[in-house]
Amino acid sequence: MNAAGAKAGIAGWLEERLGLAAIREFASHKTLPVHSATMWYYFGGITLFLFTMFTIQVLTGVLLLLYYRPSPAEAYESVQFIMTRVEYGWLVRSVHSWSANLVILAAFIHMFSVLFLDAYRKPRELTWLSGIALLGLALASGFSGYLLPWNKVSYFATKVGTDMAARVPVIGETLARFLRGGDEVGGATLTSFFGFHVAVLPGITTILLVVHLALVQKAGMSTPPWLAPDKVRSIKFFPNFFLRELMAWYAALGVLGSLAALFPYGLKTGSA
Amino acid sequence: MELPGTASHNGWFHPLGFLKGGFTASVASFVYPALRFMIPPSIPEASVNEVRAGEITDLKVNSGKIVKFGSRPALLMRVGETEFKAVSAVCTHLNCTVQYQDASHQIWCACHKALYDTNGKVLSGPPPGPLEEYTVRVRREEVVISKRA
Repeated sequence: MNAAGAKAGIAGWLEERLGLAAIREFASHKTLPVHSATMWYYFGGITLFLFTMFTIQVLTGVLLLLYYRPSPAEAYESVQFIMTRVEYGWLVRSVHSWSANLVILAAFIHMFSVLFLDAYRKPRELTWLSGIALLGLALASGFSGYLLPWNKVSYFATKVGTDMAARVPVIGETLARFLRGGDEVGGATLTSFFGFHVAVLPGITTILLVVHLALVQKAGMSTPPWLAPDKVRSIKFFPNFFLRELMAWYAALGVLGSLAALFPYGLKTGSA
Repeated sequence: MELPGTASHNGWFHPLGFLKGGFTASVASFVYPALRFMIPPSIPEASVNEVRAGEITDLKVNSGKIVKFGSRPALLMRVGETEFKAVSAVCTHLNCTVQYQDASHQIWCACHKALYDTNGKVLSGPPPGPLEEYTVRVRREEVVISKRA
Protein backbone atom coordinates (compact mmCIF):
# COMPACT_ATOMS: atom_id res chain seq x y z
CA MET A 1 0.00 0.00 0.00
CA ASN A 2 1.42 3.39 -0.89
CA ALA A 3 1.42 6.40 1.42
CA ALA A 4 -1.67 7.98 -0.15
CA GLY A 5 -3.53 4.68 0.11
CA ALA A 6 -2.56 4.30 3.76
CA LYS A 7 -3.70 7.83 4.49
CA ALA A 8 -7.05 7.18 2.83
CA GLY A 9 -7.34 3.94 4.80
CA ILE A 10 -6.77 5.66 8.13
CA ALA A 11 -9.13 8.49 7.17
CA GLY A 12 -11.79 5.94 6.26
CA TRP A 13 -11.29 4.03 9.52
CA LEU A 14 -11.69 7.23 11.56
CA GLU A 15 -14.60 8.40 9.42
CA GLU A 16 -16.58 5.23 10.12
CA ARG A 17 -16.10 5.62 13.87
CA LEU A 18 -16.20 9.37 14.42
CA GLY A 19 -18.47 10.65 11.66
CA LEU A 20 -16.03 13.41 10.78
CA ALA A 21 -17.98 14.35 7.67
CA ALA A 22 -20.84 15.59 9.84
CA ILE A 23 -18.43 17.72 11.86
CA ARG A 24 -16.86 19.12 8.69
CA GLU A 25 -20.31 19.78 7.29
CA PHE A 26 -21.30 21.57 10.52
CA ALA A 27 -18.08 23.59 10.56
CA SER A 28 -18.46 24.63 6.94
CA HIS A 29 -21.66 26.50 7.79
CA LYS A 30 -20.08 28.62 10.50
CA THR A 31 -19.29 32.06 9.17
CA LEU A 32 -17.76 35.22 10.49
CA PRO A 33 -18.75 38.76 9.56
CA VAL A 34 -15.96 40.87 8.06
CA HIS A 35 -15.97 44.59 8.72
CA SER A 36 -13.83 47.41 10.08
CA ALA A 37 -13.84 45.98 13.62
CA THR A 38 -13.13 42.34 12.73
CA MET A 39 -9.71 42.43 14.36
CA TRP A 40 -11.34 42.52 17.81
CA TYR A 41 -12.78 39.07 17.22
CA TYR A 42 -9.29 37.62 17.65
CA PHE A 43 -8.81 38.47 21.29
CA GLY A 44 -11.29 35.95 22.66
CA GLY A 45 -9.30 33.26 20.93
CA ILE A 46 -6.04 34.64 22.30
CA THR A 47 -7.46 34.57 25.81
CA LEU A 48 -8.52 31.00 25.19
CA PHE A 49 -5.13 30.02 23.83
CA LEU A 50 -3.24 31.47 26.75
CA PHE A 51 -5.58 30.11 29.37
CA THR A 52 -7.29 26.87 28.53
CA MET A 53 -6.78 23.25 29.35
CA PHE A 54 -4.44 22.37 26.56
CA THR A 55 -2.48 25.52 26.40
CA ILE A 56 0.15 27.68 27.92
CA GLN A 57 -0.99 28.06 31.51
CA VAL A 58 -1.92 24.44 31.98
CA LEU A 59 1.14 23.11 30.20
CA THR A 60 3.61 25.27 32.10
CA GLY A 61 1.59 24.79 35.29
CA VAL A 62 1.89 21.03 34.98
CA LEU A 63 5.62 21.40 34.39
CA LEU A 64 6.01 23.52 37.54
CA LEU A 65 4.04 20.91 39.50
CA LEU A 66 6.85 18.43 38.87
CA TYR A 67 9.07 20.32 41.32
CA TYR A 68 6.86 22.65 43.37
CA ARG A 69 6.08 21.67 46.99
CA PRO A 70 3.06 23.31 48.60
CA SER A 71 4.16 23.57 52.23
CA PRO A 72 5.43 26.61 54.14
CA ALA A 73 8.71 24.89 54.89
CA GLU A 74 9.42 23.89 51.31
CA ALA A 75 7.52 26.20 48.94
CA TYR A 76 10.09 28.98 48.69
CA GLU A 77 12.99 26.59 48.43
CA SER A 78 11.27 24.50 45.78
CA VAL A 79 10.65 27.60 43.64
CA GLN A 80 14.27 28.60 44.20
CA PHE A 81 15.22 25.08 43.13
CA ILE A 82 13.15 25.47 39.94
CA MET A 83 14.80 28.83 39.24
CA THR A 84 18.39 27.81 39.83
CA ARG A 85 18.80 24.05 39.50
CA VAL A 86 16.22 22.76 37.03
CA GLU A 87 17.20 23.26 33.41
CA TYR A 88 15.14 26.06 31.86
CA GLY A 89 13.23 26.29 35.14
CA TRP A 90 13.57 30.07 35.09
CA LEU A 91 12.07 30.09 31.59
CA VAL A 92 9.13 27.83 32.38
CA ARG A 93 8.24 29.83 35.49
CA SER A 94 8.71 33.07 33.59
CA VAL A 95 6.40 31.93 30.80
CA HIS A 96 3.81 30.92 33.42
CA SER A 97 3.98 34.34 35.15
CA TRP A 98 4.05 36.39 31.95
CA SER A 99 1.24 34.35 30.46
CA ALA A 100 -0.82 34.89 33.61
CA ASN A 101 -0.51 38.63 33.12
CA LEU A 102 -1.15 38.49 29.37
CA VAL A 103 -4.30 36.40 29.94
CA ILE A 104 -5.74 39.20 32.05
CA LEU A 105 -4.72 41.76 29.41
CA ALA A 106 -6.23 39.72 26.58
CA ALA A 107 -9.39 39.07 28.62
CA PHE A 108 -9.83 42.79 29.28
CA ILE A 109 -9.28 43.67 25.59
CA HIS A 110 -11.80 40.96 24.71
CA MET A 111 -14.28 42.31 27.26
CA PHE A 112 -13.98 45.92 26.13
CA SER A 113 -14.25 44.97 22.47
CA VAL A 114 -17.50 43.12 23.24
CA LEU A 115 -18.67 46.13 25.21
CA PHE A 116 -17.86 48.75 22.57
CA LEU A 117 -19.13 46.63 19.68
CA ASP A 118 -22.43 46.21 21.57
CA ALA A 119 -22.06 42.46 21.29
CA TYR A 120 -23.47 41.77 24.77
CA ARG A 121 -27.06 42.65 23.78
CA LYS A 122 -29.96 40.25 23.41
CA PRO A 123 -29.67 37.32 22.75
CA ARG A 124 -26.08 37.21 24.05
CA GLU A 125 -26.53 38.27 27.69
CA LEU A 126 -25.58 34.84 29.02
CA THR A 127 -22.42 34.80 26.92
CA TRP A 128 -21.50 38.16 28.47
CA LEU A 129 -22.24 36.99 32.01
CA SER A 130 -20.33 33.73 31.61
CA GLY A 131 -17.44 35.81 30.25
CA ILE A 132 -17.50 38.03 33.33
CA ALA A 133 -17.47 34.92 35.52
CA LEU A 134 -14.48 33.60 33.55
CA LEU A 135 -12.66 36.90 34.09
CA GLY A 136 -13.34 36.54 37.83
CA LEU A 137 -11.92 33.00 37.73
CA ALA A 138 -8.83 34.22 35.88
CA LEU A 139 -8.29 36.92 38.51
CA ALA A 140 -8.81 34.38 41.29
CA SER A 141 -6.24 32.11 39.64
CA GLY A 142 -3.80 34.99 39.55
CA PHE A 143 -4.44 35.89 43.19
CA SER A 144 -4.07 32.30 44.42
CA GLY A 145 -1.02 31.67 42.24
CA TYR A 146 0.72 34.77 43.55
CA LEU A 147 0.97 33.28 47.05
CA LEU A 148 2.52 29.99 45.99
CA PRO A 149 6.21 31.07 45.88
CA TRP A 150 5.72 31.92 49.57
CA ASN A 151 8.08 34.88 49.57
CA LYS A 152 7.59 38.04 51.61
CA VAL A 153 5.86 40.04 48.90
CA SER A 154 3.39 37.24 48.12
CA TYR A 155 2.70 36.70 51.80
CA PHE A 156 1.81 40.35 52.40
CA ALA A 157 -0.13 40.62 49.15
CA THR A 158 -2.28 37.75 50.34
CA LYS A 159 -2.64 39.34 53.75
CA VAL A 160 -3.84 42.58 52.16
CA GLY A 161 -6.10 40.71 49.72
CA THR A 162 -7.78 38.62 52.38
CA ASP A 163 -8.07 41.70 54.63
CA MET A 164 -10.07 43.30 51.82
CA ALA A 165 -12.33 40.27 51.69
CA ALA A 166 -12.92 40.70 55.44
CA ARG A 167 -14.46 44.14 54.75
CA VAL A 168 -17.32 42.65 52.72
CA PRO A 169 -20.56 43.42 54.62
CA VAL A 170 -22.08 40.64 56.75
CA ILE A 171 -20.17 37.66 55.33
CA GLY A 172 -16.74 39.35 55.26
CA GLU A 173 -15.24 37.70 58.34
CA THR A 174 -16.44 34.24 57.32
CA LEU A 175 -15.17 34.78 53.78
CA ALA A 176 -11.73 35.86 54.97
CA ARG A 177 -11.51 32.87 57.33
CA PHE A 178 -12.49 30.57 54.49
CA LEU A 179 -9.88 32.09 52.16
CA ARG A 180 -7.12 31.90 54.76
CA GLY A 181 -8.08 28.45 55.98
CA GLY A 182 -7.92 29.95 59.48
CA ASP A 183 -7.63 33.24 61.31
CA GLU A 184 -4.31 34.31 59.84
CA VAL A 185 -2.42 33.83 56.59
CA GLY A 186 -0.26 30.77 57.22
CA GLY A 187 0.51 27.24 56.19
CA ALA A 188 -3.18 26.38 55.88
CA THR A 189 -3.66 29.31 53.49
CA LEU A 190 -0.85 28.08 51.29
CA THR A 191 -2.27 24.57 51.09
CA SER A 192 -5.78 25.81 50.40
CA PHE A 193 -4.64 28.34 47.76
CA PHE A 194 -2.60 25.59 46.13
CA GLY A 195 -5.66 23.36 45.93
CA PHE A 196 -7.74 26.16 44.44
CA HIS A 197 -5.00 27.17 42.03
CA VAL A 198 -4.24 23.76 40.55
CA ALA A 199 -7.56 21.93 40.86
CA VAL A 200 -10.71 23.85 41.77
CA LEU A 201 -10.30 26.99 39.65
CA PRO A 202 -8.99 25.24 36.49
CA GLY A 203 -11.82 22.71 36.78
CA ILE A 204 -14.56 25.33 37.07
CA THR A 205 -12.89 27.40 34.36
CA THR A 206 -12.90 24.46 31.96
CA ILE A 207 -16.60 23.80 32.49
CA LEU A 208 -17.51 27.46 32.16
CA LEU A 209 -15.36 27.83 29.04
CA VAL A 210 -17.28 25.02 27.38
CA VAL A 211 -20.52 26.82 28.28
CA HIS A 212 -19.12 30.15 27.03
CA LEU A 213 -18.00 28.68 23.71
CA ALA A 214 -21.27 26.78 23.28
CA LEU A 215 -23.17 30.03 23.82
CA VAL A 216 -20.95 31.82 21.28
CA GLN A 217 -21.60 29.02 18.83
CA LYS A 218 -25.34 29.04 19.52
CA ALA A 219 -25.82 32.76 18.90
CA GLY A 220 -23.28 33.12 16.10
CA MET A 221 -20.94 36.07 15.75
CA SER A 222 -22.39 39.44 16.55
CA THR A 223 -22.28 42.23 14.00
CA PRO A 224 -22.20 45.78 15.37
CA PRO A 225 -25.73 47.27 15.15
CA TRP A 226 -24.57 50.41 13.36
CA LEU A 227 -23.33 48.48 10.33
CA ALA A 228 -25.93 47.94 7.61
CA PRO A 229 -26.40 44.15 7.28
CA ASP A 230 -26.12 44.25 3.48
CA LYS A 231 -22.72 45.98 3.73
CA VAL A 232 -21.20 43.20 5.79
CA ARG A 233 -19.37 40.45 3.94
CA SER A 234 -18.71 37.17 5.65
CA ILE A 235 -15.97 34.57 5.51
CA LYS A 236 -16.01 30.93 6.49
CA PHE A 237 -14.94 30.21 10.03
CA PHE A 238 -13.17 27.05 8.88
CA PRO A 239 -10.63 27.33 7.49
CA ASN A 240 -10.44 31.07 6.73
CA PHE A 241 -10.90 32.61 10.16
CA PHE A 242 -9.48 29.63 11.97
CA LEU A 243 -6.14 29.84 10.14
CA ARG A 244 -5.96 33.56 10.81
CA GLU A 245 -6.68 32.92 14.47
CA LEU A 246 -3.87 30.36 14.46
CA MET A 247 -1.55 33.06 13.14
CA ALA A 248 -2.72 35.35 15.94
CA TRP A 249 -1.93 32.60 18.45
CA TYR A 250 1.47 32.15 16.90
CA ALA A 251 2.14 35.87 17.22
CA ALA A 252 0.92 35.82 20.84
CA LEU A 253 3.25 32.91 21.52
CA GLY A 254 6.10 34.90 20.02
CA VAL A 255 5.34 37.91 22.22
CA LEU A 256 5.05 35.67 25.28
CA GLY A 257 8.29 33.82 24.56
CA SER A 258 10.19 37.06 23.98
CA LEU A 259 8.91 38.69 27.15
CA ALA A 260 9.63 35.58 29.23
CA ALA A 261 13.15 35.19 27.86
CA LEU A 262 14.14 38.88 27.89
CA PHE A 263 12.42 39.95 31.11
CA PRO A 264 12.36 36.80 33.27
CA TYR A 265 10.53 36.81 36.58
CA GLY A 266 12.83 36.82 39.57
CA LEU A 267 12.37 35.70 43.14
CA LYS A 268 13.84 38.69 44.86
CA THR A 269 12.46 38.78 48.36
CA GLY A 270 13.19 36.08 50.89
CA SER A 271 10.98 33.31 52.19
CA ALA A 272 7.90 34.37 54.14
CA MET B 1 0.08 24.01 -0.18
CA GLU B 2 1.79 24.25 -3.53
CA LEU B 3 2.52 27.57 -5.14
CA PRO B 4 1.62 27.56 -8.84
CA GLY B 5 4.50 27.40 -11.26
CA THR B 6 7.11 26.26 -8.80
CA ALA B 7 9.25 23.28 -9.56
CA SER B 8 10.41 22.62 -6.02
CA HIS B 9 8.33 23.79 -3.11
CA ASN B 10 10.37 22.22 -0.36
CA GLY B 11 13.73 23.85 -1.03
CA TRP B 12 15.24 25.62 1.93
CA PHE B 13 15.60 28.87 0.02
CA HIS B 14 12.11 28.78 -1.36
CA PRO B 15 9.85 31.14 0.64
CA LEU B 16 7.48 28.37 1.67
CA GLY B 17 10.28 26.03 2.69
CA PHE B 18 11.80 28.85 4.66
CA LEU B 19 8.47 29.44 6.41
CA LYS B 20 8.10 25.76 7.25
CA GLY B 21 11.64 25.66 8.59
CA GLY B 22 11.09 28.78 10.65
CA PHE B 23 7.84 27.45 12.07
CA THR B 24 9.42 24.13 12.98
CA ALA B 25 12.36 25.89 14.61
CA SER B 26 10.08 28.15 16.65
CA VAL B 27 7.99 25.21 17.84
CA ALA B 28 11.20 23.37 18.75
CA SER B 29 12.40 26.39 20.70
CA PHE B 30 9.37 25.99 22.97
CA VAL B 31 9.29 22.21 23.15
CA TYR B 32 13.01 21.68 23.78
CA PRO B 33 13.20 23.68 27.05
CA ALA B 34 10.03 21.94 28.25
CA LEU B 35 11.56 18.51 27.63
CA ARG B 36 14.81 19.48 29.34
CA PHE B 37 12.79 20.87 32.27
CA MET B 38 11.21 17.46 32.83
CA ILE B 39 14.53 15.75 33.48
CA PRO B 40 15.19 16.07 37.22
CA PRO B 41 18.56 17.71 37.86
CA SER B 42 21.11 15.48 39.51
CA ILE B 43 21.93 17.05 42.82
CA PRO B 44 25.31 15.92 44.01
CA GLU B 45 24.53 14.38 47.38
CA ALA B 46 27.06 15.73 49.82
CA SER B 47 29.03 12.63 50.71
CA VAL B 48 28.66 12.24 54.44
CA ASN B 49 31.35 10.62 56.50
CA GLU B 50 30.19 11.65 59.90
CA VAL B 51 26.92 12.62 61.55
CA ARG B 52 25.95 13.72 65.03
CA ALA B 53 23.28 11.37 66.29
CA GLY B 54 22.13 13.19 69.41
CA GLU B 55 22.85 13.07 73.15
CA ILE B 56 23.66 9.91 75.03
CA THR B 57 20.62 10.41 77.21
CA ASP B 58 18.30 10.35 74.18
CA LEU B 59 18.78 6.62 73.90
CA LYS B 60 17.92 4.13 76.63
CA VAL B 61 20.07 1.08 77.25
CA ASN B 62 19.04 -1.84 75.02
CA SER B 63 17.25 0.24 72.42
CA GLY B 64 17.90 1.52 68.93
CA LYS B 65 16.90 4.42 66.75
CA ILE B 66 17.07 5.31 63.09
CA VAL B 67 19.20 8.33 62.29
CA LYS B 68 19.86 10.08 59.00
CA PHE B 69 23.27 9.29 57.60
CA GLY B 70 23.57 11.41 54.47
CA SER B 71 20.70 10.37 52.25
CA ARG B 72 20.29 6.92 53.80
CA PRO B 73 19.19 5.73 57.24
CA ALA B 74 21.51 4.28 59.85
CA LEU B 75 20.57 2.28 62.94
CA LEU B 76 22.16 3.48 66.17
CA MET B 77 21.94 1.04 69.09
CA ARG B 78 22.85 1.40 72.75
CA VAL B 79 23.78 -2.15 73.67
CA GLY B 80 25.28 -1.38 77.08
CA GLU B 81 25.58 1.44 79.59
CA THR B 82 28.48 2.92 77.65
CA GLU B 83 28.54 0.75 74.57
CA PHE B 84 27.03 2.00 71.29
CA LYS B 85 26.89 0.32 67.90
CA ALA B 86 25.78 1.58 64.53
CA VAL B 87 25.10 -0.12 61.22
CA SER B 88 23.51 0.86 57.93
CA ALA B 89 19.75 0.47 58.36
CA VAL B 90 19.23 -0.55 54.75
CA CYS B 91 18.60 -4.29 54.52
CA THR B 92 20.93 -5.82 51.94
CA HIS B 93 18.10 -7.97 50.63
CA LEU B 94 15.57 -5.46 49.18
CA ASN B 95 16.48 -2.15 50.83
CA CYS B 96 13.83 -2.17 53.57
CA THR B 97 14.70 -0.30 56.76
CA VAL B 98 15.73 -2.61 59.57
CA GLN B 99 14.96 -2.15 63.29
CA TYR B 100 16.45 -3.10 66.64
CA GLN B 101 14.65 -5.73 68.70
CA ASP B 102 15.21 -5.27 72.43
CA ALA B 103 13.86 -8.71 73.37
CA SER B 104 16.37 -10.69 71.31
CA HIS B 105 19.12 -8.03 71.07
CA GLN B 106 19.11 -8.52 67.33
CA ILE B 107 18.37 -6.51 64.21
CA TRP B 108 15.21 -7.45 62.39
CA CYS B 109 13.95 -6.68 58.93
CA ALA B 110 10.15 -6.82 58.84
CA CYS B 111 9.88 -7.23 55.08
CA HIS B 112 11.17 -10.80 54.81
CA LYS B 113 11.94 -11.75 58.40
CA ALA B 114 15.69 -11.36 58.17
CA LEU B 115 17.78 -11.32 61.34
CA TYR B 116 21.19 -9.74 61.83
CA ASP B 117 23.30 -9.50 64.96
CA THR B 118 24.25 -6.08 66.31
CA ASN B 119 27.45 -6.13 64.24
CA GLY B 120 25.38 -6.42 61.07
CA LYS B 121 26.19 -10.07 60.41
CA VAL B 122 23.38 -12.12 58.85
CA LEU B 123 21.89 -14.67 61.27
CA SER B 124 18.96 -15.88 59.19
CA GLY B 125 16.74 -14.93 56.28
CA PRO B 126 17.37 -13.91 52.69
CA PRO B 127 19.96 -11.08 52.90
CA PRO B 128 22.98 -11.77 50.67
CA GLY B 129 25.45 -9.86 52.83
CA PRO B 130 26.00 -8.09 56.15
CA LEU B 131 24.91 -4.54 57.02
CA GLU B 132 27.71 -2.01 56.75
CA GLU B 133 29.16 -1.29 60.20
CA TYR B 134 29.86 2.24 61.33
CA THR B 135 32.13 3.51 64.06
CA VAL B 136 30.45 5.16 67.03
CA ARG B 137 32.30 7.58 69.27
CA VAL B 138 31.05 9.61 72.19
CA ARG B 139 32.28 13.20 72.33
CA ARG B 140 31.37 14.65 75.69
CA GLU B 141 27.65 13.85 75.83
CA GLU B 142 27.20 13.60 72.08
CA VAL B 143 27.09 10.43 69.98
CA VAL B 144 28.91 10.66 66.64
CA ILE B 145 28.63 8.04 63.90
CA SER B 146 31.26 7.82 61.20
CA LYS B 147 32.09 5.63 58.23
CA ARG B 148 34.91 3.16 58.60
CA ALA B 149 37.83 3.93 56.36
